[in-house]
Amino acid sequence: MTEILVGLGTFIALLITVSFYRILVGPTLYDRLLGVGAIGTYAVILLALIGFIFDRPSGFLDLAITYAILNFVGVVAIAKFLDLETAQGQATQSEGPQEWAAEDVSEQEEPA
Amino acid sequence: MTLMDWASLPFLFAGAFFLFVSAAGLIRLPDFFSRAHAVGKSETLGSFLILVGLILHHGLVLESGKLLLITLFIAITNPTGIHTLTRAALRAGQDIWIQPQDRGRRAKEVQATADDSPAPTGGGS
Repeated sequence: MTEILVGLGTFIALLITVSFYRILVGPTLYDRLLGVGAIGTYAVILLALIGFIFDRPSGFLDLAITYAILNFVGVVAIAKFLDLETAQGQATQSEGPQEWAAEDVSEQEEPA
Repeated sequence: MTLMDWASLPFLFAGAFFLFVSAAGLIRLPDFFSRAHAVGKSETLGSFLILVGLILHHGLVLESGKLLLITLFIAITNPTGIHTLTRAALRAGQDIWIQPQDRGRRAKEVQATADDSPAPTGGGS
């Protein structure tokens, strides 16, 4: 069973390596942030698998919980910050999911 | 290999498959919103399946409670984070990718829907 878990962990590490492509060459800032969030979730699963591979799951699962919380907070905070920046850029209040469609969405270039 | 190990194997392999689908979508799909769709759904399901497989492998002790906590947390927060990110991108006026044969026909419709840039060029990656 340990061999299967090691193989699975290697596969997920490979997926993390492949996902760095989107962070490095992602055309927009949002693509890069999406890659960061995806790699964070992969890392949570990899931490849980490493805990079971080394037969010490308790401490590694605590690390995985912490990493999941920090990943979520980081992604939501940066996304909210970018949203706020957009709202300040078009100098109008846009709260609520219905009102954005009626407004004039400004054409600001994303920092790529 | 006990019986519970055999029971956990399909969950682990199905989870690995869905994580692979998620990474392939993150690399290959043409615009931000389709990539966000691939990551938000497929990665949540894949991590859910792998953690359930680990719970079956380990049995009912304190660690499986922690695994269940991680499973519920990822199942709630991963789509929430991707949704917040996608809403920020939509408000910032990201280009929406359209099928090449539909570009002329659907340009007006997409403009009316998303109030997006006038020429939905979209295109490769």
